Amino acid sequence: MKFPKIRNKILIILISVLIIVSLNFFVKPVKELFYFISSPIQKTFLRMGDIISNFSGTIFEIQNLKKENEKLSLKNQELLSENSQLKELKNENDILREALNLNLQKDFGLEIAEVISRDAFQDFILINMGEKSGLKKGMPVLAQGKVILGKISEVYDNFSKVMLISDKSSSFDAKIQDSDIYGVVKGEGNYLVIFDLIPQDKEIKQGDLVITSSLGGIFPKGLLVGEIKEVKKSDVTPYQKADLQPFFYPSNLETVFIITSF
Amino acid sequence: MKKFIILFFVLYFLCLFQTSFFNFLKVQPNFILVLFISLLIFEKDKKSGIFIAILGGLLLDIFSNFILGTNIITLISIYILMLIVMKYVREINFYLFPVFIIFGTIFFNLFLSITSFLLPKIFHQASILQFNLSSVLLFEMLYNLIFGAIVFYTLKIYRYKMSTVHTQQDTKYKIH
Repeated sequence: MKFPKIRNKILIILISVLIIVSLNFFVKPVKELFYFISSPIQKTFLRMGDIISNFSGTIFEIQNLKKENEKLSLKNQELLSENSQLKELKNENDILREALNLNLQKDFGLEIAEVISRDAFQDFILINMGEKSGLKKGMPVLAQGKVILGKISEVYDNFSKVMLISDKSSSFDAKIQDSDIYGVVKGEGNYLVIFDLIPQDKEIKQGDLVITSSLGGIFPKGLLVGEIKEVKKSDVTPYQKADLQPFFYPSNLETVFIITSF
Repeated sequence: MKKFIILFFVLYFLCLFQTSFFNFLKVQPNFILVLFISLLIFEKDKKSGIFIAILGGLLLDIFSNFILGTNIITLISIYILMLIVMKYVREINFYLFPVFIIFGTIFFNLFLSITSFLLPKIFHQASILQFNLSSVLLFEMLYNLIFGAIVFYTLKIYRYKMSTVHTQQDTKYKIH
């Protein structure tokens, strides 16, 4: 008699399907409760993991550090000269603004939240603020230094899930800084991002900065996305694409900023 | 009952540990899967197996971004697959154990990709099929193998201690 065994297996499958369906009806309170209980432990684990990850990362990266240091000091010099130029421009701009009596400066409404957990497999983070703090689905999330991180994908009472720009379902309009080269930033998963749909006739190169554009209206314009790492041209396709090095470092994400109005 | 309560706390701790602590090299291990495979093949504990599949899956779903049930269905699929395979494997030794871990990790990721693609369709949500045999999977296997070795020796010590306790009890019984 093989019936009892088959019956047991069917029962297991039926029960699990029932659990799945029923749990999805009150998924929010269940998740909220678990996040509430676990957030102190998760935060501690996350910080501990970061310390070990940074320490081990430094050991592995020690050979590259010297080269990186030289590169950075060179870049620093360039930035310093650029900074002085910008300061002059700012002064000029202030004088002109005052003269024209215009208030062009529009600040974002910002909220600061702490990262509780991260998921590399799905490119999302959990933060310790939610609906009670006025957060809504779709709000842009920034890392330090006006670096775009992603947008809120799910909101609970006291927690929110942030879908990173590297998530496979994430895509938004962006442009190369100081140019009219537009394209689409797409997530590739596992913290990887590409800059796609760039017209073939446009010249892009390694090191070019990619910023958000006002097209699409998902993110405010002018936020830093990343740096072009490698350009991939093909004669077959009408567009070219490039690998992007995002400006956020997942292992250093402790505090994030949520744009509540822009 | 006591065993299942302990298992619940072990699963909860492992789930938090793997989702929060382990983010090195952008890869997360799957401790729950390793524990699940180890208990099934060494202890031949089908009850604990289905308990881990449902509760472990539920915890993984809560702490991930998947629709609730994705990991449960994936682990139940692995459970059924394991039961079929176990019928043909007479004895599990230390050399066969890594094979189970490696194939378990591959099949888990494969089933997870399929489930996470199909399940959102039921709830009319967008989903993308994502499965790639990249270095991420390789590192996950490595993590799982290391943790698997720890579980293997822990179970071995536990079994040895249990057998010693039983032998002592038997001798006491014989003396009396």
